[in-house]
Amino acid sequence: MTAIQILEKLGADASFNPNNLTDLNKSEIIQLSETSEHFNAALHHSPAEEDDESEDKEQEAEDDKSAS
Amino acid sequence: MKEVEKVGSIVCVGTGMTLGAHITPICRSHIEQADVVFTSAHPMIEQWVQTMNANVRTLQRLYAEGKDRRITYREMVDAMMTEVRAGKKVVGAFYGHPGVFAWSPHKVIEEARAEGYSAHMEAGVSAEDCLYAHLGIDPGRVGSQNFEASQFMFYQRNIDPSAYLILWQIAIAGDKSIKRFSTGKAYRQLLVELLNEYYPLEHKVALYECPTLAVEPPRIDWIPLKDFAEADISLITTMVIPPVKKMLKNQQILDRLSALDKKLQ
Repeated sequence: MTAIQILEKLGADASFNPNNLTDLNKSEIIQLSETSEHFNAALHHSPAEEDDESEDKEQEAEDDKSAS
Repeated sequence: MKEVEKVGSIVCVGTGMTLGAHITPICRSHIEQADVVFTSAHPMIEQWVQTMNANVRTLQRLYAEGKDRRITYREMVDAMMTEVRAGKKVVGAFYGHPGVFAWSPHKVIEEARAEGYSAHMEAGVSAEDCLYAHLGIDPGRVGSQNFEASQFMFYQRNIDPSAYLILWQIAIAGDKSIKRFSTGKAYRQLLVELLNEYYPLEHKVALYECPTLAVEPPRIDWIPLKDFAEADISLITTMVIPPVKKMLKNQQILDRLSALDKKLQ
């Protein structure tokens, strides 16, 4: 099993015991974890200005939904 | 007569927060059957998605310090739409829930539909879902309010201190430029001052992070509100503020409900 497959199994299989991992498995997981690059989690923004056109459109769409 | 849908399509799916643990069967199936999968998630989650489909492209490369994130988000939509217009079966796989605190998935579906393509979203397990499980909070007990931290600072919001308050993206709280990966202590101190209008400085708040790997524990650090500016936080840290007041009865409505009950007996 690759390190990713082991990590998937650890997440998905309640009977999969991490204590049974071999030293090789553990070192592969650690290596994978350490070589993972920076992750940008921000997928949302809040403009400070209310006159943002797209935000106005979104608000209008919300208003239409509420009205109907 | 209904217009015939064009050949290309887009489905936005969630990978969930923890690798292997949260992806739903339908999200996985969409990924496996796609012609091309675009991802925006933790690198290890992206590697995992690559085991499900041979044509996976990361959207993470579109971010850059100093680059307006609105441009990044727009580029994400454009990248996905280019393949949809080329007639491909496209999947956008986003970490957590694709529709929670995520602009691009909603936008690409809106645009694809406007152009006559099939487009929809599948729900995923969000950080908020995990937060309730890990912190043992039931939002139905006293209620829960969610705000993006910057929006909470930019606009006058009516906070109910008898309910939970959850602030997201606190690492970039107060970033008007929408270009930064972190704001800093002075910005966080301003957020503390704003929160202090509702909560005492000694009030304990939780800093929460959902684990990417099942072998890691969640981060749950309880600190006094006053210490927040100095706390170690990242883009995935969320602040959870428990209620500081008891719920007040709405006696007027309760009396009117009693009157209705009597009338209908």
